[in-house]
Parts: sequence; structure tokens; C-alpha cells
Amino acid sequence: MARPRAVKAAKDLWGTITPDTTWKGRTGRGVRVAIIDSGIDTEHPALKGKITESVEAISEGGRIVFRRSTAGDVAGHGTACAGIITTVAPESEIYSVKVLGPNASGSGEMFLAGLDYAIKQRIHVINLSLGTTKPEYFGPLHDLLDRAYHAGCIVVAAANNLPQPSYPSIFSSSLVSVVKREGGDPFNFGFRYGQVIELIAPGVQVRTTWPGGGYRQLTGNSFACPHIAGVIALIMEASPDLTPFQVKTILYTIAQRNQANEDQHKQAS
Amino acid sequence: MKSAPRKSSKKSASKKRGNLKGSFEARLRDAISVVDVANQLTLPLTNSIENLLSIAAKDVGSDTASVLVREGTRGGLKFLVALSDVADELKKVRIPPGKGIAGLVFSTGQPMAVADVSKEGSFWSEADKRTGFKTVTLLATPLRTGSEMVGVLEFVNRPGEPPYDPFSPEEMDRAAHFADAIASLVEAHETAGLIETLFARSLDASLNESGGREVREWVKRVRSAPEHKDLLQLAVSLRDIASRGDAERQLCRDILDSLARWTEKHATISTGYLSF
Repeated sequence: MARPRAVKAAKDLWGTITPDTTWKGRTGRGVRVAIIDSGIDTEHPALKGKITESVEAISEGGRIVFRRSTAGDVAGHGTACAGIITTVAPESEIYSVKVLGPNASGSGEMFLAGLDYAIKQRIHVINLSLGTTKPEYFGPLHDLLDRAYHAGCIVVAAANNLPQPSYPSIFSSSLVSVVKREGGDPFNFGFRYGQVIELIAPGVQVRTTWPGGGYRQLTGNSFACPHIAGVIALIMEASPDLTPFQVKTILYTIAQRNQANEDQHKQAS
Repeated sequence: MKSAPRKSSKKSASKKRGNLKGSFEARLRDAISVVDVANQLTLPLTNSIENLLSIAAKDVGSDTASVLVREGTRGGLKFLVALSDVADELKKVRIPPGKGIAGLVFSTGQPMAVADVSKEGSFWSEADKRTGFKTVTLLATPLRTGSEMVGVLEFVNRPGEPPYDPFSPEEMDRAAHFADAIASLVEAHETAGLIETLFARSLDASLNESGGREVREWVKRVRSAPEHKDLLQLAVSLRDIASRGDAERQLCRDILDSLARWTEKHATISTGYLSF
């Protein structure tokens, strides 16, 4: 009678995946999170002491190299993402990889190089609140994501709002892609299995850090992505050896619970 | 006795030079026609962008809106069209690569809305400093054609006085649809501008000081010649008729095809002036 036993085993397996067993009480300690973006304002009061390393992509002799960066963040994007991640996972180790801004002009090559750098450093969670629609980067990004998977790095990427597909967010199989929704609870995320962009997380009027010591209320998929990156950091603290596939399974299971709770709440009211 | 062929070889060399000069002039004249006609056909692009921007601003519920386009190759931006009291001043502003919300959106390719830029922290706004305008709430979305980022679409503030409601996710989505349409117009505008710039630079680069002055005068004469003006008027009429709809465009095509076939047969009309 294998079938009933298999069903029972499956129920028990999913039954063990709860917020209590995955992230409750966790702070992201020991988990390394890279933000590949415009840099981070490391002097911001909310971020001071939380940025483990800050590097910047520089073109040198025809190659892209990474040097220690004191350039901060003139754009704000990276600082905003860092603020969200440190709110969700306050003790995670943040690595800033600056590939955007006046000196790192945001070329596709720098973007790829930044991702490559983070993978080589074996960063646990990589936040990509940006993307490209250039078809010539489809292949290289696909290869990089495969390498990330095999290196145990979980890549979290923001979708874009526009009709054209944006890479790497559409590579659903090898990363966690995120789109925004309203609501402030980072743990109340949704999972749209079968859609190209699978996770939905808070990304509307998100109050977060901004260069110069201030804060902004921002809306965009860019700010939904770091919510999920932070949640994954908490999950990884509890279970450091999870593969991206296993992490997505956990996210999916929790999202199903969130949906069930929401439906129950609606029915009750 | 001196042989006649010597004199005739001088004559034929001089005739050859004359022919070459004539042929070069004809080609240059044709090139000017192409550039000027292209400009006539694309000048209204800016008006189209402005019209669409106005509709977008009303739909999204913003008071002012602008289209920024890329400048140079390092991610800098400049204002192409602005629906604002300070539009003229805005067009003089240059945004360095990666700076400001527009620079950020251009480099990340991600749309973004900021509830209140004035509240706290740094807000880079050369535009506000130069124009005296006060940006309070802002929505910026990238302009993209296929794989190319060509600019940024910005909506700023709401009608009336602050405080303003921030731009909502639904407004952000609607802005993205307008961005799609505006991006195609921006790309066409960019192409027309490139043609004009390339032509002007080639002309400057290929001539020395004295030769340059003469040829520039000649170009001026070509452009003010009645037949050139006729040509441009034809282009304008063609543009106006063709822009009325698909049926009109097809009719224009049919008429021009018939005319082309007729002129080939009769070869009485000079085709040296108009060749695309």
C-alpha cells in the first residue's frame, strides 16, 4: 500500500515547513547577502556597521576589476535595497557590489561582472533589483545563473513593469523572481506558480533608507525584491545548506499558508 | 609637329574633372534632399511626443510630465519634451550618468515612484535648482525600444497645491503603457537627429577652410532654391496625408508607385534631384 504512505509522508513533509521552523526568531546572522546595484551609503545611521564589504566595478586595461569602494551611493537605489534587507534580516552580512552610477556607468558587462564576482565569493543570497532587455545578455546571464545554482548562491531578481522580458528575472527555474504588491508585512508574500514572475512581495510605498541619512517612501519591483532576499537570509540562517530549489519550495509552502490564512480571514469577516 | 592628341588629352582630362565635379555635386544635392526631406517627415515627431505626453499626464493624474532622452554613450540624459511652465529652462539641464531619480531609472531599467522627495535626505535635482521648480512627488519609468534604453518618462506632482497623494502601482502600470508608445517616437526622433548630425559632420570634416566656405555657401543656395523648397513642401503634404490613416497611406503608396512606373517609361522628368 505505497500510495497512502506516500501521501501521508508528503503531508508530514509540508507540515514541517512553517514560519516557526524556517525563520521565526532568526536575524540572518552568518548569512552573506550581496546587493549588486548603485552602491550603498555606508554612513547612513541605519546601515552603519552593517556593510561587511563595499566594492566597485572599474574598467582597467580592457578588463573589469573590483576595487574597494568609498564612493557610497549617489543614486540611492542600492541604499534603499540595503535598508529593506537589514530591516527584515538585521544581522545579515551585507556586501555591496557597485555596478551602477557615474563611474560604473551601468553597462551590461559590469552587471555580468558584478554577478560573477558575487558568485565567486560564494555569497549566499544575491539581490538583483535591476535587469536588462538586451538579447545578447540572455546567454551569459543564463550561464551565470547556472553557476550560481551549483555554487549554492540564491539569486533574487526584480521583474520589470514593461511589456518586454527582462533578464534575468524571467529565468524562473534558476532564481527567485519578484514583483511588487501592496502591504507592509514582508512575511506575507505570495507565490504565483506557473507565472514567469513567481513571488509577490511588498513593494508599494516602502519606507526605506536613502543616501544622506534620510528615508524615502518608494514604489517599485526593485523594492519588493530585497524583502524576499531578507526572508531568504532568515531561512538560510536556520538551514545554511539549502539549495535554491529547496528555498523556493519553502517560499512556495509558506505562501500557500499565507493564502489559506487570507482566505480564512476573508470568510470569517 | 605637335600632335593633336596632346591638346585633346588636356581637354578630355578637364572634361573628366568637370564630369566628376558635376557628378559629386549631384550626389551632394541628393544627400541634402534626403536629409531635409527626412527632417520634414520627422519634425512633427516632437509634437506627437508632446501630445501623447499630455494624454499620459492626464491619465496618470500628474501636473507636469517630461520625456528625457539619452545624451552621449555613458548614460547621461537631457530633456526632450517637458509639459511645464519651466520647459524652456529644463531643456538646458543635463543630467550626469546615474544621477537623480531619472538617472537611476535609466541605469537600472526599473520604474520607480517616490512619495515625497523633499522630505529628508539628499535629492539631486539640478532641474529644480535651475528652474526654481519644486518636485514633491515623482514617478519615473524607463523608455525602452526592444533592447535599447532610449530615455525616461517622468511624471511630477499633482494638480493643485501639496500635499500630494503619491503615485500608485496602478498609475505606474498605466505609465508603462504610455512609455511603450513614447519610446518608439523617441527612437525615430533620435534616428532623424543622427542623420542630420552625421551629414553636417561629414561635410565639415571633409573640407578645408576655404573649400568649406564655398561649399557651405553652395549648400545654402541649394536649400533656398525653389525646386528644393517644392520638394520639402511635397514631403510635408505627403506626411500630412499619410498621417490621416491606413487607407490614406495606402493611397499615397499606390499613387507614388504609379508615378514611378510612368516616369520610368517616359524618362522625361529628371530623377537627379530626388533619389532615396
